[in-house]
Amino acid sequence: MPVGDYYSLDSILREETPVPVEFQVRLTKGLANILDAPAGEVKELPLWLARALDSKDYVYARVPRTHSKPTLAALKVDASKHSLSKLNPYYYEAGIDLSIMTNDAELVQALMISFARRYKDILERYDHTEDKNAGTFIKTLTSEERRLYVSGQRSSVHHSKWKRRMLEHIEHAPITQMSNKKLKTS
Amino acid sequence: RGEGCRMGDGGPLSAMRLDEGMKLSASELEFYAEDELVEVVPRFEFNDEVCMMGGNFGPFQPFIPTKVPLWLAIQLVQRKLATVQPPDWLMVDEIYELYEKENSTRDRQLLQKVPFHYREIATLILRHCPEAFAGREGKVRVLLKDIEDLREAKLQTSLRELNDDHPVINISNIGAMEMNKMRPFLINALHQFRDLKRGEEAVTQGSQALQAQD
Repeated sequence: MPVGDYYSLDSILREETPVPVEFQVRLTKGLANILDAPAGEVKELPLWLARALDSKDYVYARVPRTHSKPTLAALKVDASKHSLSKLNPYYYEAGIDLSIMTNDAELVQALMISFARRYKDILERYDHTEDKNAGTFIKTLTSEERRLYVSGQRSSVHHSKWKRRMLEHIEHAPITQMSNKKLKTS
Repeated sequence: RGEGCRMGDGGPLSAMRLDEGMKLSASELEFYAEDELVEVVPRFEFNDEVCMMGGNFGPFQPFIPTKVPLWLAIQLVQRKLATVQPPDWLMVDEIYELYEKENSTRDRQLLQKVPFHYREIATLILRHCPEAFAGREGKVRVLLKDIEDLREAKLQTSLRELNDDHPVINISNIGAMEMNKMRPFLINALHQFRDLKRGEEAVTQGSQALQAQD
């Protein structure tokens, strides 16, 4: 997906991923007021800008530390131990953009291996509603992994409700129950 | 005084549909399943045919079995106008055989052939006409639960086999409700694998184009 969906919030946020770029030429007009840097200097720009400038060869875009070779090597060892969301909440998708931009096939392959590994974890865990560590686990997931987890979990809950005939029950929303309690104590 | 209400049934505006790929809620699937024909033994007489979209049913003579859609059968049972004859596959012996077959193929992850809406039909008949099983309803329930669990486990194992080299899973003989439950998760997983694969192809194409330029 070289260019994101114009209206998608996820795309917009993903394309803010900071990317270190090395300036090849000094910009003299236009953006020069904001982006003044001599040739050779390395600065961090958002992904969308880095891509635009890189395609015209004004800069040479590099892979940021979050997707660098050492980080990928650590992921290869055991992908499930890492909190990818801390590195980048759109780790996979930004990674794909980065690997297209820097022509790095190994990056994308490392992502595929990591996802195949983490997918198994998500598969194990989405069904266990009593899992106390579920909250911490979800925090380590990227936004795409989170969507996968939540879709599985909600579907599972929905169908067990059907089984128990709870689907047709109309329940109070939790918010109204809390305000009732407050009234009682005053 | 405002009373918030939250319907977990996946109605049209539910978040489940909008984000996550649950196209059909379980209640809706049950609704479709109710079109399946079952045999009833009427206790009333009605000499005309009833013409409906699903077909023509009747005439109804007392104690003469006839086939009607499940939803109609349930209505008749609730009004004490008929009794339901459970379908052959739901009787104790057949269910037991199905259980044995599922159990024996447990390691090979092969699902046995079942009626497409087996869960919905079984749930509805057990709920509304338990006396139709002549006292063996408990046994049927237990066997059915075991069959469901066995099948779920097999599907879960199949899902685990999914990876980027091999983005297919074998779901022959899957039931409607099982498919519905699996759908959001499976589709999102397949999307993710596909996106990564496409990314890989885009990179290799890009580098081939660059090499062509040199």
